[in-house]
Amino acid sequence: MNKAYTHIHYAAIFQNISRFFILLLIPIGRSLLVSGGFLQWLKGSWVDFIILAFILVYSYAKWHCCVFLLLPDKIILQSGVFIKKKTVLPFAGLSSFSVESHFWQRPFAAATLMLDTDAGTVKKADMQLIVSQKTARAFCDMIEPIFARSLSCSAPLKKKYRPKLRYVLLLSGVFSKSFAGVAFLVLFFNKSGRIIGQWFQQQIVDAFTSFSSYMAFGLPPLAATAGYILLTGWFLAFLGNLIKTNNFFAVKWGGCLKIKSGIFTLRTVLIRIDKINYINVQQGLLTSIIGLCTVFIHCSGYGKKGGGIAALIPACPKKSLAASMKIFFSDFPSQQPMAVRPEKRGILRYISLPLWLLAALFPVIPIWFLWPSWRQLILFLAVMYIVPVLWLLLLRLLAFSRCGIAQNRGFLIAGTTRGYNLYKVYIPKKKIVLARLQQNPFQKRGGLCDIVIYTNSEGRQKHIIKSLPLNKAKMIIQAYL
Amino acid sequence: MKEPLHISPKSVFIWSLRYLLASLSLFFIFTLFLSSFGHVIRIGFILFIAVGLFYILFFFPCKYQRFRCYINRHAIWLSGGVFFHKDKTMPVKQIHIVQGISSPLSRLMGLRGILLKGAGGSLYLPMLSKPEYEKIENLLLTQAVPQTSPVSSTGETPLQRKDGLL
Repeated sequence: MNKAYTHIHYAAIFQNISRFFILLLIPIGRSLLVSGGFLQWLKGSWVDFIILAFILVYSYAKWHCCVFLLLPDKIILQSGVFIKKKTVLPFAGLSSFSVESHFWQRPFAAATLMLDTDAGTVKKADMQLIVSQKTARAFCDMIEPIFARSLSCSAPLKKKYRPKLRYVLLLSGVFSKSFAGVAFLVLFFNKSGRIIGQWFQQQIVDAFTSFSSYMAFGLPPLAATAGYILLTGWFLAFLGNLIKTNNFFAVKWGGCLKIKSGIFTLRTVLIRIDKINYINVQQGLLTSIIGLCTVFIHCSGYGKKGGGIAALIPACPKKSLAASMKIFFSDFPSQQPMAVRPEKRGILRYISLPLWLLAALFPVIPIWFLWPSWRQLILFLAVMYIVPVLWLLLLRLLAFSRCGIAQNRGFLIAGTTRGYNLYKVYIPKKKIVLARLQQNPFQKRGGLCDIVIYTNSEGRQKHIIKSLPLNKAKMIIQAYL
Repeated sequence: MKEPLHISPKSVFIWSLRYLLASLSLFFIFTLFLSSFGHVIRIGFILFIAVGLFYILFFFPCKYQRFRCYINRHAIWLSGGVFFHKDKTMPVKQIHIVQGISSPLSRLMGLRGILLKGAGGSLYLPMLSKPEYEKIENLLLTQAVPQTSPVSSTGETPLQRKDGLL
């Protein structure tokens, strides 16, 4: 091995060991199953020692074989015990560079570096290595000027942005998914049963059930329990997001965007501005009514692998969006109205889904009359079903009035809707890889079409703008692309 | 490079050996679980021999023969395929990551593969000899990206100057 190569931080050994924790279940399970006491267990423990020795030796060997070399224009990483890999990553191709300092790494003064390019997969960083915090800082100091000089601007100034705490709380609240929280809850509950014991697990179940029945407010006990499980799940997801997004701080220096956030895991991300694929201004129905919006950026490596939400501005009033965005993008056309809007006759394309979902309730009506004893449960389930569908219907009506397409200052602006959100996506011209006009038979008769815009990096993303007049859509696409 | 680049002739041997090792392991596991079904094992063994002969005598030599690679300053072009012909072209400027990969067997033969990753796709050049691998790696890295790093007049990077680690 060349002497210039440096080993990654020894904390990586512990991370390697943690990946084999599942193998440690074998000796633990055997110790629980073997009757006859400790001596009997010790007699047959040679298998356990072999497993343990394998875990330790392999983790050490994996660390020993992982070395990196930093050159002025690239980084070379050699890894692998049996299958050897030598990865060369030139800095000029980098889209983002992240430093994560997990709470368990801080006692070792270690940090995880993640380097990402437009190549590779969405789930995994292109290069990931654990180094000392000192080396990580030095890496950061080295990459930042490279990114800063990627945009040609004379004497770039540092512009800072720190959102108000209430906006960070709002971001964490709005983007917390109950499902993630419930999944965490189930996992915790399952593990707690195994570790602390069935008795403790039963105590939690009893306490939760009695709480739900006491606080049911006239609801059926099963419904109240389900509701409280969802609420607890949402709260846990909210806490998780808050931990990730708290202390949010962004600095722009030339072509480099530096974003810091986190409490337990301190995260610093450097983003090359010219590698941003698109900027996404997002609103839900509620945030739309109160006039707030959130700005996300799509760049390879940002918001990846549990790195939180890829937000640039957690929340800001719609009126002050232009001023906030000017900090990061001097030529950002935030006030641009849509040049081409959906036609009135194309409204069904927007509201057909919620209307079909409402129509799906009609088969329930006979059950209401045939089984009167089920009425309370049916009423509850119907309300639980209708509220989100009506919410979606209102959002789609709002989307119909807001969606469209426009172009300005090198950006293609697409107003779209997906799920329960409204999006206004600003795509730089050079990032568009394909634009497609498509018509279904109904649209063909009405002279309408959908535009699908594709951007490409670590997989393909598409943005669909529905029910635009065909002639105008063709004109704007031909003029822009 | 004007002449097409061939992969090493040793590749046929390595592919055959890999196939034998993998299929023997599978066959061994099968035998363990189906020890009471003698006729199934016998049919499996005949199949294993037939497929093995097909791969070793026809498929791998054909794969080796048909594999072509051309590289110039602008693009890398691969051609190959036994039953389905494939042509792949990747602009050198779109290559973001160059990764050399070697297994214990290929290392023993002094060979290694090179994986080129770009936005939206990747190319794999298998079984290259070390000098050829280095030649391609250097060519790709010098052509792929312009140098934009902050190197001081002494040629040191900030990391080298600050903590003297590298």
